[in-house]
Amino acid sequence: MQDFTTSQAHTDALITNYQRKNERIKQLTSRFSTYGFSQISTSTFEDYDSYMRLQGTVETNEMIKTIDHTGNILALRSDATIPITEQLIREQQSHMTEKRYFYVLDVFRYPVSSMKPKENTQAGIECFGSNGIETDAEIIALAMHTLIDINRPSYTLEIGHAGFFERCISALDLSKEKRNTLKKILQTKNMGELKQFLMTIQVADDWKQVLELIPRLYGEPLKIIELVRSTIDDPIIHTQMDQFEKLNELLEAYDLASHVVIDLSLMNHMDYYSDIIFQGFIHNVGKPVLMGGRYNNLTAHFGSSMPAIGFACDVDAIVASEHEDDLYVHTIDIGILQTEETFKDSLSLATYLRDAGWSTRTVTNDLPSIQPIITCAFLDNNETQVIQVIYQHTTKKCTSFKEVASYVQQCMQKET
Amino acid sequence: MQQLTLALAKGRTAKDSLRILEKANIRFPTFHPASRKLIFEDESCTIKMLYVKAVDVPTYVETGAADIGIVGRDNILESTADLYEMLDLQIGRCDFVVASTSTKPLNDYRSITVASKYPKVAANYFNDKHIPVETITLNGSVELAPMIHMADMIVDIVETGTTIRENGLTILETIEPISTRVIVNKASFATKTPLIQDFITNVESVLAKEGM
Repeated sequence: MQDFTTSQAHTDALITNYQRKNERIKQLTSRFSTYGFSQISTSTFEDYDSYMRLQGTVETNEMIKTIDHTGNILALRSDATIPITEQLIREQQSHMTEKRYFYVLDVFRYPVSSMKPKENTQAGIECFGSNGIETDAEIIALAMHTLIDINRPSYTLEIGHAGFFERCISALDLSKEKRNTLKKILQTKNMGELKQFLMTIQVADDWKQVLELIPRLYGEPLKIIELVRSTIDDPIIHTQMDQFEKLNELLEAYDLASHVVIDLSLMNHMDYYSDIIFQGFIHNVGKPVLMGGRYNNLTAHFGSSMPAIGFACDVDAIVASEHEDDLYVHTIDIGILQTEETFKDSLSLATYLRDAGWSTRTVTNDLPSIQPIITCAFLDNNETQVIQVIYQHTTKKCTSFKEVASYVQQCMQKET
Repeated sequence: MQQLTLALAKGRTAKDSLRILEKANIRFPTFHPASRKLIFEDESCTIKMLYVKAVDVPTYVETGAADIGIVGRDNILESTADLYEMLDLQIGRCDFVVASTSTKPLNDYRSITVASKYPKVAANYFNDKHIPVETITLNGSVELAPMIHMADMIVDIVETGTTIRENGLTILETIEPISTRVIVNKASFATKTPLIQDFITNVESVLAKEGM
């Protein structure tokens, strides 16, 4: 037999981690359902060439590739939004109403910084077909509701605009390298370097003022909106600020505005975002756990034009930051003590309780090891069948399966 | 009460960094450079300082183990971490340079082998110039590599250039200036905004007073 060496397994593979992750996924997906989203999935294998044609999304050298029997290159799914959008456009009927989907999918990449492939579970939503600021607000409300569900002492949602930076540099004739340098400087809020950079380029005074201000355009929405309006007189920027103002009003109506900040240096490395973009942070996780935005231009790549907005949660990052006991891990509800005489009866009772939806195990002697919440045992009684049900040191005697089930129901209600 | 965790780089800039913090009324009374303790609290108990190796500071901050870091830009560049780089403390100034025993210009090489403590910075620099490059990672005495023909040249930080000259090396190109920076974890900035903004403006005003 071959020797097995302990490999540095993906943390996913640990049993307790998987159970916690599963609980977290259940919580996320049921939240998505409450906003009228329904689940979809996409193929793990994708056509590599179609990604090649989509510039400014996933770096092709980060994709994990394989070759099919005809020699075509396939890529493992490296993003969820792109294939979902493609699938939707391919299947859509001539008349499209609003479509709301959620997904829980693994994405696979080779991060540039490491030689090891990485699989990452994303749970997210996509909403196609409506373009109003009301939809933006509703999706952001769902994003925040999702963050609240995670139940940490603090959470923040940063909102930016993909068109803001683009507009600020539209009058400048920047080379691709210079543009990337400026982007990097702004993303790191590096004021010193920004000042030096702005001295090396030709830029009108009013735009220079805005660019110089970008690292500080972070904070309470109304303050930032006013600051931008008073700094630059540009119709496109003012329209963006009007959008932010309306959005803030709507989020106030949702009672969520206090945890929202505007961050105009926020940029996403995915080029498909067109308008509002956002990311969510929770206490004790060093990176965003939720990212998304409006991407009205992506559908055009697949031959149709349709507004869309969505976001994804980094399930693994959330789970990795949890303590073992943060989440309730499903245990056994009912244990039935089994003897030779009551063998058949206890199996029938188990089936009855399982049909009623309770997790049930029959055991001969080792009851403590499964730690059930409720214990059942058949009492030896010649005439009638008596089942003893024990819950928290109190014992109740039942004479029928039905009675047992209704008592279990009562006890479990107390549990939750 | 929310607390900030600060990762401070050990080594040549630690003393100057602490001096600036002291002027900003942030003092760590139990701190002594020779102490074996790794964690120190400030007087008001609002800041917890981790005294760690410079090269590790960006890692502490990127993962969120520390909210703020004080470290040289050389280590920030090498780490390629996704962070905010909010302040330049203007101390620990030096330059990232390319140096060699030969004075042959870079463009005359078909391919280059470069030894460095900063392999990513070195590789990026030559890649941008479209010169094929092979990097060798060393952890000290980098100057030795070209002398014994292990590498054509080195990429390293220099303050005065004395060590470089004493070992018969010439500076061929300056990549960029380096100084000590304040870095911030992006998630901490979002979830502890007032604390971090206070820290930044506080230190900023000290720098302004010193005319930096």
